[in-house]
Amino acid sequence: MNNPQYPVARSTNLVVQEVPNEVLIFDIDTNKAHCLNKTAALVWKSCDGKRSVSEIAEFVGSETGEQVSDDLVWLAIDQLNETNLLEDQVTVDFKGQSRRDALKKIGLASVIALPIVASLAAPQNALANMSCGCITITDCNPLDGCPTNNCGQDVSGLCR
Amino acid sequence: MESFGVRIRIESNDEELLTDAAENLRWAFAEKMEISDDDGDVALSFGLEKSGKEFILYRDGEYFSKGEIKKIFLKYMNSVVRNRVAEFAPDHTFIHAGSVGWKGRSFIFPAKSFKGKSTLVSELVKLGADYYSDEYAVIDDNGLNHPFPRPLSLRTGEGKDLREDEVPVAEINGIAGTEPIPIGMVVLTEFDPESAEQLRRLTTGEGILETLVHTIPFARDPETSLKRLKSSLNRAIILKGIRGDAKDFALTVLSNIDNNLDSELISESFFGGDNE
Repeated sequence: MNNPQYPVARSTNLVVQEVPNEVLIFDIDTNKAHCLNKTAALVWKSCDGKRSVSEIAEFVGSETGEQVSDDLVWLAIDQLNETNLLEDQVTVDFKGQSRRDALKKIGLASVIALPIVASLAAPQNALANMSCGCITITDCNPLDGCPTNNCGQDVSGLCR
Repeated sequence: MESFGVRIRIESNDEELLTDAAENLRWAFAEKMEISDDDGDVALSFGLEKSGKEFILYRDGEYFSKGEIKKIFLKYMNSVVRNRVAEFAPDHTFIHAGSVGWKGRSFIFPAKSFKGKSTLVSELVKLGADYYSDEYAVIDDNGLNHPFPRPLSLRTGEGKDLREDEVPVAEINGIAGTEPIPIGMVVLTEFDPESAEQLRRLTTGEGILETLVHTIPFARDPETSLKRLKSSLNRAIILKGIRGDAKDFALTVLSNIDNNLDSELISESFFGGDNE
C-alpha cells in the first residue's frame, strides 16, 4: 500500500445533485456550493474509508478506462480537503513536490481531465442581489433609508 | 392576494391607501395574482398604516419601513411583496433574471439589479422575442420557465437625472409570452461598454453554480432549488462573460441562434474563441 490514509467523503449537512459528468454539492455548514468535475466527483464518491489512495486511483482508472496516478488522486483530495468535503482532513502527499510542481507533472501525463472543484458562496439572504426598490439615494432617504440594506452608494449614486 | 400559490394578507387603517396598494400590485404582477376578500390561511402578512404624513409598512406584524411619499412607499411595498412571493412560491423557483421567449425556447439573463437586464430584454423584445420578464425567470419541476410579464422597468439618464419608467410591453410593440417553455440558453453577462464582448461556454454544473447565486429561495430551500435548476438548465447553452451595448448584443444573440438552439449552429465568433 502506497499510503496508509483512507479518506472518507463527508455525507452530513450536504445537498447533493448530480448532473451529467458533474456533481453539485451545497454545504449547509459553510453556505458554499461546489461543482465537482467528473474526475473530482469520481474521487469524492470513491472515498469510502475502505480504499487507499492507490485503490481510489485504480477505481477512477477503471471508471474512465485510463491509467490514473496516485498524484492525480492527491490533487483531488487536496481540493476536497480545502472545500471541507471529507469527514477528516487528510495529509496530502505529493512525495516532496510542491502542489504546483505536482500539478504540472500530472497535467502533462494525465489523459483524463484534472480534478477541479469550483466553489461559490451561496446567497444567505434572498434579497442579497435585489434592488431595494429605490432608484436613487434620494428615493431611499424618505423611505427611512433602505430597509434591505441594499442601497449602496456605488459610483453612479444608484441604490442597488 | 394570492400569487404562485403564496397567499398574502394586506391590510390597512386607510381605505384609500389599501385601494392604491391593490392597484399598484395588480399593475406590477400583471395577471399573475388574484385579489380577494377571502381571509383564509395566509403565509405572510403586510400592514400598511397611514399615520399623519407618514406611511408605515409592517411585515408579519413587525415594523419594516416608512416613508412620506406615497408613490415611493407603494413602489417599495410592491417590491417587498414580489420578493416574498418569489421566496415562498411552493411549486416554482424564482431566479432573479431577465427572460424572453424565442421560437419555443426561453433565454434567461440572471444578474443583480442595475446590471442591464431590462434594457437587454427590451432590445430582444423589440427584435421580436416574446416578453417573459425583466425581473424573474420562474421555473417549475419540469424545468419550464413561466412568464412573469410585469411592466418593464426602463431607466434613462444618469446620476441625479436618472429616472425609471414602468413600461407595459405593448408600448415597445412587444408581446408577452403566455406559455411555460423550456430554457434554451442562459446568459450570465455584465455590461461593460469599454470591453470587447467575450463569452465563454460553461458546463451545466458550472452554469447552475453561477445561477444559484441569483436563485431567490436557494437559502431557504437549497434542495428543491438545485433540483429545479438541474431540470431547467440541463439542456441549455450556458454562457458567461462581458457584453457591450444591449442593442448590438441582442442582435448577436438572435442572429446566432437557430430554431432548435443547436449549439453546433452557433457561430464560434459568438464565444470570443474561448469556449469549450
